[in-house]
Amino acid sequence: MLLKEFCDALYKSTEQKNFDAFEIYGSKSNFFSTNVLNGEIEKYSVSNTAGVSLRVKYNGKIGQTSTSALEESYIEEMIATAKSNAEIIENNDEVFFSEKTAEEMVTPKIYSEALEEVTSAEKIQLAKDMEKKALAFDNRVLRVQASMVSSGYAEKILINSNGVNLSEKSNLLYGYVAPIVQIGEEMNNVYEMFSVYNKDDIDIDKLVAKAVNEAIALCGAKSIKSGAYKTIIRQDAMLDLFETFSPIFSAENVQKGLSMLKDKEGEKIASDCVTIVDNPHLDWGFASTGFDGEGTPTTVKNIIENGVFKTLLYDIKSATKANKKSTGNAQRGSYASSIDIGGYNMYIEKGEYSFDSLLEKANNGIVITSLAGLHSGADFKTGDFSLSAQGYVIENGKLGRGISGITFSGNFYKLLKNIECVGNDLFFGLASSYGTPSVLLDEKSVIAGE
Amino acid sequence: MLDKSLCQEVLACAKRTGADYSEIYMSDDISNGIQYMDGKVESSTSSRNRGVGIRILKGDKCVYAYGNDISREGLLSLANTVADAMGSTDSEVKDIVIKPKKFEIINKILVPANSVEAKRKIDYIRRGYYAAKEYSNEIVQVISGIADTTRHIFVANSDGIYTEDTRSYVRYIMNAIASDGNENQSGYKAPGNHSGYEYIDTLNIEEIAKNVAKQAVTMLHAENCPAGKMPVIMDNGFGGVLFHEACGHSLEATAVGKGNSVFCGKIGEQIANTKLTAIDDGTMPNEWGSININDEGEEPQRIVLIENGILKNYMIDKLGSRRMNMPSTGSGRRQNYTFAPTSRMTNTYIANGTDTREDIFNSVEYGLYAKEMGGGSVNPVTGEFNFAVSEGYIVKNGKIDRPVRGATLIGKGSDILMNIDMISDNMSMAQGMCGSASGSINTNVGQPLLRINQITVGGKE
Repeated sequence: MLLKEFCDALYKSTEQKNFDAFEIYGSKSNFFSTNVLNGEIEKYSVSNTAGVSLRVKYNGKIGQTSTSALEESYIEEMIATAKSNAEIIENNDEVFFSEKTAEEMVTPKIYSEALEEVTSAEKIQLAKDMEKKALAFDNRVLRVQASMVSSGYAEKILINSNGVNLSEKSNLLYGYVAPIVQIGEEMNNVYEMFSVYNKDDIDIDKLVAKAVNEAIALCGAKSIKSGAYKTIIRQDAMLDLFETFSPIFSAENVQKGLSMLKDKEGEKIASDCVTIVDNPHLDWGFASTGFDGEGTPTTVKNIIENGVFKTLLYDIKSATKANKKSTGNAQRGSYASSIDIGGYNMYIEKGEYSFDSLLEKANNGIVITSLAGLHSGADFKTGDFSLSAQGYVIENGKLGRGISGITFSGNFYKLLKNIECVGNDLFFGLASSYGTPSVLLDEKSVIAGE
Repeated sequence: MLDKSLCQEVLACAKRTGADYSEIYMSDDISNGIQYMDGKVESSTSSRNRGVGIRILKGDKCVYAYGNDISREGLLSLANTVADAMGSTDSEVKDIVIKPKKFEIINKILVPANSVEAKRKIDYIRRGYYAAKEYSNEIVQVISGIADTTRHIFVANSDGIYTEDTRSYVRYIMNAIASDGNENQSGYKAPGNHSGYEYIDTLNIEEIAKNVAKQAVTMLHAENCPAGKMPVIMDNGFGGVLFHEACGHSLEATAVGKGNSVFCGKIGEQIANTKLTAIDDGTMPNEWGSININDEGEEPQRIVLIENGILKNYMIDKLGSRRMNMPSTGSGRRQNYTFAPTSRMTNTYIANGTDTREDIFNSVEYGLYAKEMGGGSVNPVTGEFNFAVSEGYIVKNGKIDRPVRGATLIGKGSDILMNIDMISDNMSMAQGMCGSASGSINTNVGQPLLRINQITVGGKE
């Protein structure tokens, strides 16, 4: 069955079961991906998938189930499973589904007609061009580990028994190139990515130059003596760190004791130059959306304003618990996921400093350009991180030799307070919900070295 | 099981533009999870994920398409998509003969997940919750959970395979957080098995819960770990994650076949200390990483990767076998129908040695004892890795001196293998989910307690 058809059939059947309330969420995605190796297609993958989640409220409790088997014959079993899940819940939190709103929903631009017209052949050519240009850019490029181009089209539907009936579609073109360079015995690789709504926005030459130059600069890089350094965390490394610790702003995590921001609204938790925004309404933002995972209209807000903590991010459940209104930050990783809380284009607002002026301000110190081990060496529950890092030495306000094999450690809560300057180079990751500029930290905040 | 003649038709259609191999893979997962928190059942969720993927190969070129529509039209549409992507000229395809494959059921399922009532599952997690909660009043939060997945897989391919299997995974999850009001530290363990719920009855739930709580409380009172180069004693069980990440991934055909591994062309050479033997064994009954048949329809094997320090073999799937011109080792695995298979680990461990725990501790004048490891990551090109130590202690003159936190182990896979120089005889395994090109799959890591004579420890002091 088609997604819409299945959702409608499921709605009809569920409606007859006398639940307190219910909600149906469906998503559909068409995906294309190709990787080129030595001028030939090495990998080619195409998919058309869809799935539906059902949440029912029964005796005040929520039961959830989902399926990708969209068949009429499975509907009764699906409803029965959702009901039996609800029957065993003991948590007494009040849970509601979203209500129909009077005002019109904001509809940010997230679907490009032109992108749907880019053919598979053009995408393959793009991957071939990236590989070819990377190989030709410098004779130290040994080969290209991956030259990948993907595109995705997604549709989501949300219907509930309060009369909410919403849908949205979006698409995106993205990819990356990863040249491997060799100098003497040493090898190194760097990934450089793009994500766009318009094919003409891809600047392959720039992408390739950035990847190859950095791979060369960091090839054979050595560690540095352990100590406290004046540190710039470059936009891309800062993004990884910011995204890893973003769950501290989830009201659910605060309520569960997993974040240390309990009752901190109104307090200063970051330095004056730090403002963190969540803006789901950006046109062509990768996470832009008019409604969240529960059908609540999304909102633009400051999470931190000039260092002062303004608000947590809420879904309906955590907002009810806190006697507040949902901020429209309920998220579903996929149709099968439980409701989670997260940012929709959540970013650190850019400052006034160019990257070069950050280097000058630091004068002597280090730049961190990439971090590894984020899923194990960083714990949002404590704020602690201890990661393997690469970067450069800063000497007299200029980039010096490469650094690798070092640990970079600190605490994210403290780091927020130790940001001295914010760069003007705001950067969103590969189809990411998060964005950051580069930041300069004072030297008390982190330890780096062997 | 999909109809046999339909499979033959679809396999032939997929091959029509010159592919030399075609394959249909279907997976149907039913997953359930219950979470216990604040003395109550917090959530209970179920999901079903069923779909089909068609893969074709021509030499080492691979085209894959997948979707949820398993009707004849759905399958033929996928077959045509892959065929059109592979070439533009139709050629004649010989009749494809497929027949059921016989294989041994290594992983017996005695108590299937769908026969277990919610009440019984809740009882298991309630017991763990209270045992951890009552350990100390510094334990502020406990999350216990139980999860099961019943996965039905089906493979048909132009090599003649037409077969199916059912896998059942059960896992018990314990997570405790200790806090002194200013800081939080957590403890975690999640034992699992490829079997039915009979496994959960073999667990000492109270003991697991207590250890998890103890870990969190110990780390709450630990100082920051000093950084520097030092000897490290790694405990058995999850310590094996180091070998898995730093060496295991570099021995997969995914890395070796494309020349992206430091171990390329090194078979027969000494790559590790002579005391070290490492094995990937997908045939161990009911282990988390074991399979009856892999996701390419082949039987799993016991692969000796390294024997007394000499590199013996790699882990190879069908496509890797073509790239490397070596036989497949039955290592083709994938999370589900949304991924083409690739070479993956199963139960990967360092085999027992002859040193004793006592010898190993006595040999360390000053170093780190990594009792529990967190996860880690590795760059397969450079072999550089990074691991978190979730429970660590400083060792002085062979004795445990004090707990330390925030430690990480940093190094290169090729160096570490030479530096593992003492190995004891208490090999045990621990369960993990390994993420790679073909998705997230169940794998065991394992090792006996061992010593790394020198490694960079990243710390905070």
